[in-house]
Amino acid sequence: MGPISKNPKRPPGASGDDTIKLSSGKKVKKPAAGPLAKARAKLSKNKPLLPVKPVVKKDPETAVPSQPAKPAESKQKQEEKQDLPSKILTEKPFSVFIPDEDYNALFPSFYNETCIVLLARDSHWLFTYWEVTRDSVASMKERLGESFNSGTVMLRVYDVTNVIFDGRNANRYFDVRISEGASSWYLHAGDPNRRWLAEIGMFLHDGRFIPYARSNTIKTPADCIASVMDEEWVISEELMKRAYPKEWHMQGDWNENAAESGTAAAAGTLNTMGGSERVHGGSSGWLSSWSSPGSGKEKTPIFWFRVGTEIIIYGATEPDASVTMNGKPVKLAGDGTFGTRFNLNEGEHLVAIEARSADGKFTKAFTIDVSKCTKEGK
Amino acid sequence: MKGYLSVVLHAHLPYVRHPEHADFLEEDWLYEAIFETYIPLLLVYERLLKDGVDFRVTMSLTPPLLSMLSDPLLQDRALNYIEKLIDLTSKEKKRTEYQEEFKKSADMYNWKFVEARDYFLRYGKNLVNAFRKVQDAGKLEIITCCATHGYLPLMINQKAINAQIKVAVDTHEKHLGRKPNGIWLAECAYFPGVDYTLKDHGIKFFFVDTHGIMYGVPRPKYGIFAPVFCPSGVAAFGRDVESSKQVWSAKEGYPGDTNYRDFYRDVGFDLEYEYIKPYINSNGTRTFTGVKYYKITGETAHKEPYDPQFALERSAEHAGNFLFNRGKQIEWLASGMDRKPIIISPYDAELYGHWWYEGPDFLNFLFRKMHYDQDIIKMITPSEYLAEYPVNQVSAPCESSWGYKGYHEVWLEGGNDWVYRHLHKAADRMCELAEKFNSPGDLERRALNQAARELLLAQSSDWAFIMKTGTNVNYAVRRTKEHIVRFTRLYDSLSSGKIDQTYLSEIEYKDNIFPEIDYKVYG
Repeated sequence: MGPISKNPKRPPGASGDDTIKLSSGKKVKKPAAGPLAKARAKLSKNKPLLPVKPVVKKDPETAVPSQPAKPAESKQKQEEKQDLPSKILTEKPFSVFIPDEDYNALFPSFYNETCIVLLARDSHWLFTYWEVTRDSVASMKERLGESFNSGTVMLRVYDVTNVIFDGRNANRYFDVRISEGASSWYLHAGDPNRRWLAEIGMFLHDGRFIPYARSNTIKTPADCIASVMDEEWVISEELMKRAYPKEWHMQGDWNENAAESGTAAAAGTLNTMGGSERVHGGSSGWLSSWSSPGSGKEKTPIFWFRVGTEIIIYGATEPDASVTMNGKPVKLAGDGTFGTRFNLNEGEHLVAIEARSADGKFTKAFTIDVSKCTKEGK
Repeated sequence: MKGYLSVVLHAHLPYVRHPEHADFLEEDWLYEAIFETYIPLLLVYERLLKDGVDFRVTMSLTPPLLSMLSDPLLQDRALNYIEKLIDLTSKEKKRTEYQEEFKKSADMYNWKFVEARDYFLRYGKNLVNAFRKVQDAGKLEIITCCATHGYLPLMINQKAINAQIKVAVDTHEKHLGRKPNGIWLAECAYFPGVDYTLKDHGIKFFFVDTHGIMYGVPRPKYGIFAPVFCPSGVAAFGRDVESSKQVWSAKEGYPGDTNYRDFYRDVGFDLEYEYIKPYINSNGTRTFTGVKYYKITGETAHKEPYDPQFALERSAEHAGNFLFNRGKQIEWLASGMDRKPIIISPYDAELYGHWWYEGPDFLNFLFRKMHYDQDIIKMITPSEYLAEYPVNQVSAPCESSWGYKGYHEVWLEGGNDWVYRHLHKAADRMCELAEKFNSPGDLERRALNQAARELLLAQSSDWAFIMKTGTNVNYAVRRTKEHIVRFTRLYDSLSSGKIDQTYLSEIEYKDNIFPEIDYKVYG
């Protein structure tokens, strides 16, 4: 396993198939790239965000077999442990220690303010989140009376390219029905280089759309080489060939070439730091070691001399395997490692170590032959 | 001489300082980076200087990194970290005495760690001084980054974006004695218009990913092989795909060579528990120690012993190969261009040494070979290139990042999109506070400045990135929530006029980044 190969070429969430991953773990079919699909939004739903526990990404689709899940889990446990304010530094200048806040309990879910915000994820997709307060809903109810009950909550997304939007002059718009309880959504806008704006509101049975809030305006980025040229900087055919290799000429979503290098680059920083993942060594890693006994601390006036010999036998296997040494069970640590330290007696020793997989299908055995012969003198 | 190569190393770590804990796992990121990447790189630079090799390298030292490198608590802990490794490797030298295949690695680690410690102490435990020395020698151009590596295209609030740049430039000047000429935008994430903010703070250039230039309007004449001027007049350099791929690519990249050191097989996991216990996490969990005896070997669980000498020779071969390819690339480009092309090769600095153990050797060989063995290509910094070519085409780069798919999806997806509601709200509230408090009292001022720190810390793109990649997710979630909670409590207390001084002192102590910050940066 090489260092770089740890970063999967296609990171989690980027399975090459045509589905979109949801935070709920469900998948939605990605709209096919075609005029019909472009005609409008098939959307991915986003679960209400909070106070749901933070989503820990699990993506069986793209899980790389060489990345074991278990070490990562134990890491998280370990972090939880660290949250305990058990190890306070003595150099701390404050006499009163305030334990770490219970950040989960104190974390605000919403801010009691009706709003909607729009972000561009890429050339084709937008992301929006919103909040509609109880007060806003109440006054909407009051304003609409009976017809409120027939209405549904809707997102209306406007194309406001080259327009100072006044509520009615958008180039076009599309509506997206959202599910109850949702507070954010991914929207397939489809077109790069356009400016967008969204409203959250009530869509009524008589066709009216009454907004609760209007978002900021954002622009979807370009996704291909520009056709606009600068006559002062004419590009010769020869230069075009050299500076713009073929693979950059295609249009549409990002190209493979950019992805190849981009992926690895982005995955480089933190993924590698701290080494939170490890390819489990399995049954390898058998090293034998000898260590000397502790240096005597006794202060006796008499000259003395002693020699001890220890042998340490240790190793690792699957965490749920069972291991025996000369027929006696060896206790495994949670991560599948074990270690035993022996005082090594004179003579020849055979140590038979056997590991058996949890399902009993596999066994592996080693026999170690150790001999020790100590004599006085040189 | 037909063209230029600019190697850009982005050195960054999120602010992982935890004074409230004696031992904190994520702080190790810093210590690993110091002893496995920064010092090995600095040793390469210093030896090149000593040998009279004319080289150029550009590095972004991010404000959180500068702050941590110059923090006395972290410096002491870093020293403690390396002392422990020296202790361990001294033992390892003994333990492997009869194992020739490991003994040479154990010896190597031991002397390298001793050398690194001595280097660290020589600069008074402050590596910023060491970087500064190479900078002042004219070989290293140090640029800045967003104040806390904030992801600007998803920030919206213009004042918050401005604060990310202003605080960065101030921090840079404080530590490096001069204002930065250039910036590495966090995650290479650019959106049209942010260049005006850069200009406001005296920044003359930045970098974008390949398609940021290629999709620019109007179409840039030289593609990524010359900078363009944004409408603001700030220059944008584009990342070269070919040279990136040779180092980054999982398949073809040099670091995957089977002779190079394997990252995963570490004595922290491999050795007997009681023996290794003092060198792993203090809660008893096995972790990486940095002492690794095996080479990559291949896609197999069976690993062969690492041979440092052989690996060193491979890194020299790879440097030669890299240089050969750049030479070919430059010749191909130069014949079609009416100016000397520049190849921009940016990497995360921590790739070198920490991840690709032989990376610093590779750079060492590359710089030397470039100096001695050929004259097609020369190294240059972006500032020097702009001085040679002050006239460039005006083109507006395309919004982009260097993340997967080239836009914002890495930092805006199902696992992390929840953070933006809170980051946006806190930014808006910070601006509201800055407007409201014109002449605050001492305590209020402290609370306002601390609120600015909490906002900035919450904005690190690292948290969203970690949530996306799925490792250490709890920590990233915790950091986001903690800073938002602390910010919100400060906001509430400032609004109600009841500031809890003990609490304020507590979080000033915990989140002490940017001691000189002035909340009015949000005004």
